Amino acid sequence: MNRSYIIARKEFKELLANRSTLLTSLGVALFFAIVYSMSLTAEGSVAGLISVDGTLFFLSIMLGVFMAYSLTGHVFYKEKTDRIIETLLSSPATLRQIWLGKTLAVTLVAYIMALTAMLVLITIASIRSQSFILPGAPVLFHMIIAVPVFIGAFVGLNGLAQMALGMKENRLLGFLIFIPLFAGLYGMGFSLGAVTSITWVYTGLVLLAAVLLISLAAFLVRFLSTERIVTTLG
Amino acid sequence: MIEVKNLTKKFKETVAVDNINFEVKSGEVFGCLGHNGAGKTTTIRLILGLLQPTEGKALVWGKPLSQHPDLRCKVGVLLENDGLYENLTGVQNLNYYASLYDVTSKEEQITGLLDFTGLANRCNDKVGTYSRGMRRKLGLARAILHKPSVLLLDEPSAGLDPEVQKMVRDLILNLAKEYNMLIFLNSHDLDEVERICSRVVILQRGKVVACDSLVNLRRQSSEPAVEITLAAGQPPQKAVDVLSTLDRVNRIVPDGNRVTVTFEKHAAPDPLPALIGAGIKVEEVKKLRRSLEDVYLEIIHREEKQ
Repeated sequence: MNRSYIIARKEFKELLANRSTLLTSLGVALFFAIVYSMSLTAEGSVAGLISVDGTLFFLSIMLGVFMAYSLTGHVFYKEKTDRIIETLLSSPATLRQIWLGKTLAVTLVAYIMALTAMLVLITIASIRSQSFILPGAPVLFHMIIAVPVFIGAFVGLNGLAQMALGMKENRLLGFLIFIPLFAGLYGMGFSLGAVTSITWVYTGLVLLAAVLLISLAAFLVRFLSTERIVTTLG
Repeated sequence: MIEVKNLTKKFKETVAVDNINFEVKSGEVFGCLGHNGAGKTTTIRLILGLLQPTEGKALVWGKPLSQHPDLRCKVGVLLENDGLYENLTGVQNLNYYASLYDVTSKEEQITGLLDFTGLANRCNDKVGTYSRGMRRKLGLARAILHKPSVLLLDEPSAGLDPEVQKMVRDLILNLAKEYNMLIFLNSHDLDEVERICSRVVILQRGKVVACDSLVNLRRQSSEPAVEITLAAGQPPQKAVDVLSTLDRVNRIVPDGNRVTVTFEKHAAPDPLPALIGAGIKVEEVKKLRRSLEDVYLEIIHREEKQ
């Protein structure tokens, strides 16, 4: 059996077993889904300022990345602080297989949570507006194809950085990622959600960016060494 | 077989391992001794290929493990950390590593090891709920799950109760004897090393200060020592005063009615006439067999003086 798959399966199982992290992340995702669904269907000043397509387009990426951000640390960073990574690096699994397996597991869990949040958003918005809200084809394509690739690219790059950097640098990196993500989810999302027409061009650009980023991460893995990881352990 | 040839590892200006050489053969239990910071863990990491040597080589079966990941299928490792995942159960942990190491007949092997380590009744509990001793036992089971030919252990019985320590010792001896396994052991526990290792290397500040069988090390370093048991009511201080006047005495350590005297190398100790001449009654005088601890401390102190 492929070792990346073995690692991915184990990380997936472990993420699901970590109930507190899972529930907290899911809670955050659902919170934003509810807030945005309320705004979508609110009467008054907010009504009409954001569109269903625009909201789903931006929120699916933002929430996906936010979920990935909160889970990556449990899979990459924690293994370094606990020093378990040394045992894993001593196994027949190569560094690339380890990185790929972990990236796949976090991407899958983060994507499932983001998708769940989007379904909740659509359901609440449909109930409140008493009409079935269905996103356009580019947005559906975006949610099904581009979003998981984008999440994978983020996890791949962030995981790579967590493996390569020391503890202090990792904390700083986490802080630097968190601020724009949180700001995006709280305020910027409403502005971005105001884009009423999501075309195939938007979707294509996001997918292209995601593919480029994931390729960059896969390329950069070759420069990561076990020595770098071992000498930056907590 | 492990070959360490002119191995040096520098971290910027710090020399962690300084031109060390040794070989370990199949079926041998080889101990690596040294104070904290002597270079033991760096050596094990270099052998595993987790670190790249600055100079020299660390080879397993003639190849560096860093460039031959598949060779790692035949190497078992138990480092300071047990390598276990707290959110997974004991069985899930073993299953994971069994898959990574391509273990055939997984179920049978895991069941056997869980029975052997006495963890069968807790195998479906999360490892996070295990005691330190249970984790170490499971870590050891994990390390030998794939029946490796080479086993590298870093402080395998640190923090374990005496019963588990004995179990670990017996297991190590059994693995070396029954399976002709090469076992490389980093340890602070000199008593443990003395019981199970046939050869040792002693590191100090990254350098090899001794590398030989325990028998040879005892022979080479032997500062003869005697333990004198004074008769009841005899003042130990008077005996110490008399003994300190003898030629070639290195150390005198009184302990109740017993006094241990260590002489210089090649001296022929005979403290009895002097004690009797001073009117001190002696119950027993016996030559002491040098423990590994004595040998180790002597070598370390000698190197420090130089």
